[in-house]
Amino acid sequence: MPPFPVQARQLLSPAADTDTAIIRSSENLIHAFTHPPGKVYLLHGDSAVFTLSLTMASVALANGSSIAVVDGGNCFNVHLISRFAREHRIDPAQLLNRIFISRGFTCYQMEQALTRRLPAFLAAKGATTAMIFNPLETLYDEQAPLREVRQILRRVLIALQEMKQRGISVLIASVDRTVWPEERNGLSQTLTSSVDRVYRLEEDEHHHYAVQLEPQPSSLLSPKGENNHGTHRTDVHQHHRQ
Amino acid sequence: MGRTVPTFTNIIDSEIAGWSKFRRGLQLEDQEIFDEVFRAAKRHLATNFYAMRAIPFESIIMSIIIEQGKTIKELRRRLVQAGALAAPEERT
Amino acid sequence: MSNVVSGWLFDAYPSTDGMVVWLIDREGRKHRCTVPFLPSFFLHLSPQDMKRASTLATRCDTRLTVSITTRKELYSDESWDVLQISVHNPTRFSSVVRSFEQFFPHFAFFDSDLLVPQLFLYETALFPLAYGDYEIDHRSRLVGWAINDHHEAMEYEVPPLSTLRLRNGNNFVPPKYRKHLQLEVSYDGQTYSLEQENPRDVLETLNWHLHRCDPDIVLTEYGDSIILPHLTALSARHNIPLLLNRDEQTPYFRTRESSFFQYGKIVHKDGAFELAGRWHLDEQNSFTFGEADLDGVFELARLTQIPVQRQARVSIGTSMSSLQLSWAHSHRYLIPSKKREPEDFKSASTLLMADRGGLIFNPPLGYHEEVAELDFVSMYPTIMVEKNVSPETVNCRCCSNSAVPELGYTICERREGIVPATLRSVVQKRSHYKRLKRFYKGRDDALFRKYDRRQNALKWMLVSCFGYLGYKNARFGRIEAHESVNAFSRDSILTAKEIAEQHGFRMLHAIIDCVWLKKPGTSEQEYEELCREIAARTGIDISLEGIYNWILFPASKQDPLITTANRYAGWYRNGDFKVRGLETRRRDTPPFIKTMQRAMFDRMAPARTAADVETLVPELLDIGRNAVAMLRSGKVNPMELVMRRHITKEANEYTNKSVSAVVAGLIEEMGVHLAAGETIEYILIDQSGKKKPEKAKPIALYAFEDGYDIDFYTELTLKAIESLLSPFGYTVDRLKELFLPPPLKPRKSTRSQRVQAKPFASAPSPHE
Repeated sequence: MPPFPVQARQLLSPAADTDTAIIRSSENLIHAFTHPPGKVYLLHGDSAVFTLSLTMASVALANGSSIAVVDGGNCFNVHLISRFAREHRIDPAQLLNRIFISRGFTCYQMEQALTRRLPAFLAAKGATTAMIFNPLETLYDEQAPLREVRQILRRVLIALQEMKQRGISVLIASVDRTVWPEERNGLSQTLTSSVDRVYRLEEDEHHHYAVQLEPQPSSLLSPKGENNHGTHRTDVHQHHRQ
Repeated sequence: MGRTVPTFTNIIDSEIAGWSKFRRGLQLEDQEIFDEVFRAAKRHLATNFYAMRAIPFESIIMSIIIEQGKTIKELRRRLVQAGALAAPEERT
Repeated sequence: MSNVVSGWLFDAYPSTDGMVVWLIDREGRKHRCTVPFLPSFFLHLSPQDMKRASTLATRCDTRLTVSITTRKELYSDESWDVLQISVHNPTRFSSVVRSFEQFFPHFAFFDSDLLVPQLFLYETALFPLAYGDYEIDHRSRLVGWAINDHHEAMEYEVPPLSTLRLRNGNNFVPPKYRKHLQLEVSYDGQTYSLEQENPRDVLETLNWHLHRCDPDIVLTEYGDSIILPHLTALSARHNIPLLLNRDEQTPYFRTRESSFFQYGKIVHKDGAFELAGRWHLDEQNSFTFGEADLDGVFELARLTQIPVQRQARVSIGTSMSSLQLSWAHSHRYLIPSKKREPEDFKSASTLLMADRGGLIFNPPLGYHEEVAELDFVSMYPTIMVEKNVSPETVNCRCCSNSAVPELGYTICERREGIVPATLRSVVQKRSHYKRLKRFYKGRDDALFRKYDRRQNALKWMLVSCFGYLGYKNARFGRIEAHESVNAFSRDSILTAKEIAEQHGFRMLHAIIDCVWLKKPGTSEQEYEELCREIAARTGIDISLEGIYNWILFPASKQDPLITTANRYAGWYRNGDFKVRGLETRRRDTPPFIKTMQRAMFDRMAPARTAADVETLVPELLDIGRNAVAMLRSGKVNPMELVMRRHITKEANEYTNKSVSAVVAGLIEEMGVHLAAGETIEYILIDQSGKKKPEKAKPIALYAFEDGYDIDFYTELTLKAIESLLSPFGYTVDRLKELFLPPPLKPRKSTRSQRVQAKPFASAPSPHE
């Protein structure tokens, strides 16, 4: 049975029987995200970013795509997708069987997931859409030294650029929060300057959400990635299993 | 170790919260029945947990139906005992 | 010329050219010797990077030996070419690793974050308290050994050990709150109080005792956090070296205290203060010691190959980990420096199925009779061992089956995983000790206690191994393995339920690895037969814990009409009492309430049925009434009303004026700094803060005139009574009606009263 075609506009009108966030003006984001493919977008704001991301994912799933999600903050809400299915009269299994999750609880797991597992999985499935939830969260864990964490982020960003070259669209959803410890503040800026576009999800005084495109600081990451001590990434990775 | 899918108690509480506006519009005695009906789901905790259906509300509904079925069965038994209802074998 | 010492391995720690090893012989004589040792770590790199690493090694200021060798990788079971870097000065091992870490990514490093004593013991297959013949040459070098012992042995001797106890002498104030040290030293049956005014005299006297006793063990209370740091600070200030270390050339081994976030709360760990050539054990900083005494510490130190001082301080996860590291090392597997295996991608449908814990069936409310409790024996470890669940065996690449129920994951059929391989002996040992314990119960007290302590220490390891499998920092851990164990667990309980129901039993309650069944008239033998059938079908042993005369499943605190899991109390037929989750058992309940509830349970002991319990209700109400009356009279000893709580922040981080905030603040003002995660103990004086703004006082500051908040403690007491009596209709409100005088209501004048008040009015009142 062909998947039920769902219009982006339709889904973003206020849902009549739920109290979920009322989201409007996201059409730009949704359309731009997949047309054309091959980009890295960042969406940040409060925890409603995951609601929006999963709703976008549900639309894509309903239209036949497969999606891979790397979850760095344990934010994945399965029931959001099944509720979407129910509201649009789709068998939930159809959607739930085509969205795949890998959870990372340490920065080392996140690194392995994003640099090795994700590209391999997308290639194997023939999928071109990926989402990353709270990629920086595990990097704030003090058990990992700052120097190491910076290198991890660098390697991850390089991997994202490579995926982008191969036509993958990556949406990063991140919750704004005060960074503790303070010395790790810079990580967020590094991430922001490396993506193609930054969107902010904001709530106004009437509890309506809106998505704003934000201007970005100039990119600090050169297209080919930097060549530095400790980042002979391709050489080292050759020997690691997929 | 991160649990990602909430526990069923949380899911039931979440559903109850989602129905709060509906409940508010009910008469007091109906509200009591509303509460009792969701309580049935909590009593069946393991069954629901086990089924882990994509749409939790379906599990909740099944629990409620089972609980009500139990009540009906008990009522029927008492009525038969009191002679007010024919025993099942006697009915056509 | 060599000398052979027949004795035990007592201590091992790094020195600049190898390891220092201490032995104790059968006469209690100590022998210090040295062993050459080169700790190594491995780098897995491309050929270019290997060259870079070799060059780096030549520039290192510590002498290194670099060679190429092969080791295996655990998940793929493949052989990898790796660079082995051996460090000639073991004390410099971690700094060498750190310098290499500047140049190579973390995933290239293996065996690099292990402690040197650990590496030494894994390498040599020696273990703490290993008994054997040790050959020492004339230069005090250990040149050979023959061990007549095994780290998994169930029967072993321990050496003769002398102990010196060191504690702070003041008994009335908890040690953290005392400003001055008043030391008490005990050994050979005598206690000495060090009451000298002058700190120099204190130090010299302490040295004299240490010299005289030459203890193998220095046993303290709060030695890690307070006494030893204080003493060493004094020693430095007055320039009097302490004789704490037997090995005076070696410094102390110290680590800092820390507070960190784990599993939803802040946990606090004290720092450690370890000695060289002698053991410092701090009773207050050792989970194992508290649970299983020295017998337990020795059992674990031998098994895990973690030196005794460290073993007394580590968490259970570390013990578990050490077993695995040792196995990996001896099987030539590379030990990753960090856990980095992420979860395999799984569909959301699979996530729903997989992300569940053990099975929980809520029990029916109230009192029930003739209920039997059946417990699976070490369910989770047994599943791991019997079903071969391990990080590298779940969804292996070599096999394809659907061995895991519900989830359909594959379990490797080709090789045994590291987890089952290391757990098997732990499970076997524990069973063996439990049998011995049961045998000696009533026959030989000392032996009973010894085996009980040993099995208890192992119990904690088994209890934690499952959590460790899923723990984010566990080197050899994987979510899929964790999920598989849960899936087998759920399946086993459901199988047990089905078998029981086939035989006419009703399952009242189930939690993860225990089931409560009922079928009136069933004998113990019949239950045991049922156990055998369930064990045969599931592959996991299950035993009859007991048959209850009656068991209570109390109402949930949130909703009086439903129950929650893992809360029950009851008397077994054999006279034992079991309680979980109720006030008697909870750590945060004040002693007064615990005592009262326990008295009520004791009164219910003779009851055989629920009806019997009901006849006791008037007496139980009396117990409750008396307790409440005592409270309200203000005469309860406030020490019986002490509340315990963990603080989540440091005193200056609280922004509100909650009781915890107030108490933490008062303690801070006393000069005692408590870190997040530590416990506070206080008496509540006025919950609202209206009459007494300080709300509560920590024990150290409390004076009897402060009194206590009668209403607050009354409420707690009534709740504890309600737990037992709500099935008979006694809610907190009803109990208040029965026990407390009615609140005085202001008299409102009603219309009729007003009319009656003016009987002689000639004109109708304007209010009518």
